[in-house]
Amino acid sequence: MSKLYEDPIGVILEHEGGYVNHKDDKGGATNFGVTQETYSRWLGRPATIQDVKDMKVETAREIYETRYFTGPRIDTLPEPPQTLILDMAINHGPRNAIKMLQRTINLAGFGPISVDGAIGPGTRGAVEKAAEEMGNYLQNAIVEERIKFYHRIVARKESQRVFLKGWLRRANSYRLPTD
Amino acid sequence: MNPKIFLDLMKNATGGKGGEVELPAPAGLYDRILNGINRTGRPLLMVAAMAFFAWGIMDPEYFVVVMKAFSQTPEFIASAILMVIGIFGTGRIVGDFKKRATVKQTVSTSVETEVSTGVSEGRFNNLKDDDPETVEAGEDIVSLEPENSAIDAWKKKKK
Repeated sequence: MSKLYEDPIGVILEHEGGYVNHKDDKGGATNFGVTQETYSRWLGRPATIQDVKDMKVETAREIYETRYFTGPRIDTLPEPPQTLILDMAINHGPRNAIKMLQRTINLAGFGPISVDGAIGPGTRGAVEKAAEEMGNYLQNAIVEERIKFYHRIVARKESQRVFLKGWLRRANSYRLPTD
Repeated sequence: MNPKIFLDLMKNATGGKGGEVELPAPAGLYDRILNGINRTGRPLLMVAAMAFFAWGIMDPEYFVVVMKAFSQTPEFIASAILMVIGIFGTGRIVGDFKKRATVKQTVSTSVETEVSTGVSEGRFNNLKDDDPETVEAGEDIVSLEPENSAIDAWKKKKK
């Protein structure tokens, strides 16, 4: 598996690049893709442009981990499908990623659990049970839901079609072998 | 492609720095010397034209002698010199435009290649998770088609 799937946060950090403060960028001053506003929330005080400029890559990684991994409690999920859900959280937002997971659980008959985009004891228990019984089939089923979601995005906005091929490749690379 | 997405991708493609693109190879020593000589032509002509008037004011007597000598010069020689200067100046301007166009093309091709490779590999996180459009699309999740071949395969195996 490529670096993207081994260390998605690392790859995001690389691609987001360093310090940028462009007048057309809605987020204002940004470093490693972390906006001044997000950094202010992280620091608990208003961050200055200089603060954003001086941000260390380790801090950015911590922010990403909090936002996409420990914050939405994806770290409490079994592996697989933990890495897949993390990649989905970075790509579609944690709520949408968890909703797709919950929907898969319901479709597979381990529910019913509420499709609310939040991991609580009910979701965690159902995922653990599904992972134990379904094995690699669970991850593949989530990949299928993700693919359907990508198609839905394109159906909503045709201009996104250009990305579909790459998205599908990214989604399909998470498929696991089943006997 | 949506210009905002394209700008995002360009930012990503260049690591947010906007400069990691391949430019044409630098010229060799011979080319650089000739380029240097070529570049001095136009400034020298300008300085000479200004100096010409200054000379007329500073040394009018000798200037008149020289002007008389010039008036004896056959017209076709003066025309030929003017033509050479004209061709030289125009050639430099056209050359500069061509060079700029080549650099622009190289930069844009390089970024486009990086962008299209990134897009086809699914590397770019162009779906911003807090973007209202992504959040809105999330409302569709509950209404996705119920068919899931991996779940069907698992159920079939279980039986």
